[in-house]
Amino acid sequence: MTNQRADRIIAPPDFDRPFLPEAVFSDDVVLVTGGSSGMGRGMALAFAQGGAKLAILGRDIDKARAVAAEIEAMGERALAIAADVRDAAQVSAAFDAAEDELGPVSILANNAGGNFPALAESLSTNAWNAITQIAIDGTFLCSAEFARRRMAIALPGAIVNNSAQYIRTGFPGDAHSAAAKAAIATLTRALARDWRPGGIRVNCVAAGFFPHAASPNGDDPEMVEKLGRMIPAGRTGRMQEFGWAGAFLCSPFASAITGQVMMIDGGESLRRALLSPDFVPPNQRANIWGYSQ
Amino acid sequence: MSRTVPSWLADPVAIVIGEGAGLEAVAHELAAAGATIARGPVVASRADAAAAIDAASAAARDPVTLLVHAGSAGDGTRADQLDPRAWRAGLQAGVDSGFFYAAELAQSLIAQGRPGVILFLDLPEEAGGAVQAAASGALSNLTKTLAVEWARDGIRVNTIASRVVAGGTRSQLRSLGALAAYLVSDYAAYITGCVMGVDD
Repeated sequence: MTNQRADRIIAPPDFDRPFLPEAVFSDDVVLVTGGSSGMGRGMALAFAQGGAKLAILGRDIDKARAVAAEIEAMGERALAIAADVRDAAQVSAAFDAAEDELGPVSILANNAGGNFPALAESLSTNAWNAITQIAIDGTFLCSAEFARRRMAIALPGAIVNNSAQYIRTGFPGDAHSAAAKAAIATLTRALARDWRPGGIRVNCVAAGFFPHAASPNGDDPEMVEKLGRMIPAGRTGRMQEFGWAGAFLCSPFASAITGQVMMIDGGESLRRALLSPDFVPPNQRANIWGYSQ
Repeated sequence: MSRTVPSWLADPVAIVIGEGAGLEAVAHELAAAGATIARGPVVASRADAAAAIDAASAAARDPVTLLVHAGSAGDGTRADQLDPRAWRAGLQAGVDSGFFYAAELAQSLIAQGRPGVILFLDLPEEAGGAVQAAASGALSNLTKTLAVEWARDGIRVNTIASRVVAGGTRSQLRSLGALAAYLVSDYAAYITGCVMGVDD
């Protein structure tokens, strides 16, 4: 049985059609970890669109400065800070630097993370440690530093974490990130419970495929188009959609929303059929994240 | 800050099913965001859902493209003391009616070549008794299934499962309404098959 109806692929509004009111974050200082590229940058721009001041945290100060310059070009203040989120002392110093320059941080967006295809049996101690500790330890250390500072001055705050669409299924060929991203979702709920009395909200965006300049094939429109065809929605995600999801969860419109995981993947994680191509284990595939030999 | 969300919607006709503080908060926020609101009853068949959608479209002089369904699966009566009619009525309101409306709306939208959005409002599975637990499980996996079936037709399907749907503080109800308005808007065009709460 065939059905010839045409695909209807819904594009989001362009970034220059603002989502939240212009001044919604005008009293906020937002610290974005991993803010110097990709998804962190996408989130930083969405907050800047709402009038926030931004602290852009990255390990590469030059990249962080480039994003800070983009935000200043949008008319908002921004500060680039170099720090490793796995180091509690560096995290604390980064909050000090942001506070000295911009004022107390009132919103935290944990986006620092990394990923690459790897066979679990070949994953080195260092590779495992790097990916899991940037994501899990980094999210914990930055969140705890943020919450202590907010509660010390008896002011509310909001945190948004960056998780992934594969947290409920696992991801063969990506053991390090499968573990890390699921930990972020469960940590989100635990932190929300711990800090509800302190008025600190904690939510999480579980993202699908959002190509960007630094992601595999992210700068190749033809490849991105091809990747889009494997997703139920018929396209990959646009960075402004990811940014807006994070900004919504931290905005006053979501002032009672906490402990939530918002899946934004165009249905990618739900795609399945009873009949599939023959199963090929990751260590026999031509491409670890592909499906064939 | 403004009391309601910005004009996120381009005047779609929304059919809104069910009752309760949560549903009213959502209807209020959707109207503020730009939707025209029509009401429909909980139904026991696709034919009844079709009739309600047709009536809503006729009254609004524009086709319904947005469905918000809040069925109530009933109270927390212990399973061994639950009357079979109450069991069936709970499942009908909590799952069946939502499916009938969703299937009718999707079939009609696909025939017209129009996109649309479906949002189910539910309580968490542990918020009620056996009926609620069964209905929530069914609705959650139905959401994920329909989202993929209709993704290429430009029809998104999501669920907010929260105790706030049954009532909450003013702030909780506003957040529920704002979340609903965001999820049905094109700003959330990449969110489909998502089941989430408010503070649960």
